Amino acid sequence: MLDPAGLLAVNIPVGDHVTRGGLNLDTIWTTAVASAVVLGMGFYLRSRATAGVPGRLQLFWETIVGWVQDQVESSLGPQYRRVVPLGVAIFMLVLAANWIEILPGLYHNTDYAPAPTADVNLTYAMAIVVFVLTNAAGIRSRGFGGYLKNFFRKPVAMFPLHIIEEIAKPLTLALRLFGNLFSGGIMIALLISFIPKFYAFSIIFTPVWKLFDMFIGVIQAFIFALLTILYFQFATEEGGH
Amino acid sequence: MLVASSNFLVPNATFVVELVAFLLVVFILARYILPPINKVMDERQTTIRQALADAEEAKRRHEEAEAEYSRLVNEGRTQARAVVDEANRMAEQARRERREQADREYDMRVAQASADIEAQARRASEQLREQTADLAIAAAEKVLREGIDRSAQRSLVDRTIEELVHTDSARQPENA
Repeated sequence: MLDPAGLLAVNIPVGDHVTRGGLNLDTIWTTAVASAVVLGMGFYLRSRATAGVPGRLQLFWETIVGWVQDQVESSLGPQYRRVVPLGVAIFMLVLAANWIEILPGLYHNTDYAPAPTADVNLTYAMAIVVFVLTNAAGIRSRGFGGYLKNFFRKPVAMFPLHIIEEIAKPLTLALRLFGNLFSGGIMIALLISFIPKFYAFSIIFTPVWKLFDMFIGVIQAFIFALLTILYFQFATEEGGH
Repeated sequence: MLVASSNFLVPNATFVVELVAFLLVVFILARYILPPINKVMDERQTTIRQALADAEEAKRRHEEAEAEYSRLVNEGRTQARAVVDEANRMAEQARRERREQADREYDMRVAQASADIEAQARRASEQLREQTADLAIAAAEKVLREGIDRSAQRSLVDRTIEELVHTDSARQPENA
């Protein structure tokens, strides 16, 4: 009973998905739920938004929009206001997606409500969008020649590293978010797998971990949005970075 | 149907669906949701800025009014003091004038009375002298009965009286 090897010998499925026709259905429908939550709140607010005293939902949205606007204007300048919707969408969608993990399920990757951000398909998709848009902004602000020349900035021998850095940016962006949520899900699966042997421990620490996951969810949404804005800044600012 | 993926770091066809979903969310947010939110935020900011400006303006007006008020009060005080001072000065002057006039009138009346008294006294002494002279002459005529040179007599008597008067007026200051 107290054999450590026996304790740890729990079979937690890792990286499993409900699939059909090569599609991760669970990721798709939780993404749909997260999007519906974000857009639902947005459209509800659209019909209610007041210039007077804002309600809690409006206050929340205004805080996020205000924060993104401040970030964009201080790092990029007012001419990059187009970036604001992207930043807000990233924060809201990632937050809603991350918090789906809080919904109860027996085993993370087999329950019906895994966080879609715990699947690389969503995080890669977002990172690709950020990658394409930041590089497009770089080309637009420096010209295509200036954009290419930026990879060969002094010291020129660093050129391969600059290429790698440019690829690493979206990759790390995607994998950071994925790794946090994925491991959070595994932790919950692990805690739940303890139930037969350490019932009390599991009952106490599962909610504690879920609360901590909510916190991580906010932090990761914040980081993804902030880094997106910073990548725009790196791509467009004079003299490279 | 559960299928364990060969490597969970490698994306599959789900990627395309997620990409479309994400772009859709960004588009809808940018097109339909953020503009009204930005609008009310701007409106509120305008309202707040306007309210602050109004408050500033009201404060300025209040200060101006207060300054004007204290200026008027000071002016009023100064004027009141000036009026009181003027009234005091006029009263003082009127009093002084009245007293001077009274003094003058008193002096005048005293002088008038003195002059009258002196004139009457002179007239009385004149009369007295004449009567005394006539009386003396009549008495002398009665005494002598004889025609004495009347003019010589007269001058004698006048001289006598003159001497008498002189001694009289020399004695007079003691009686005054």
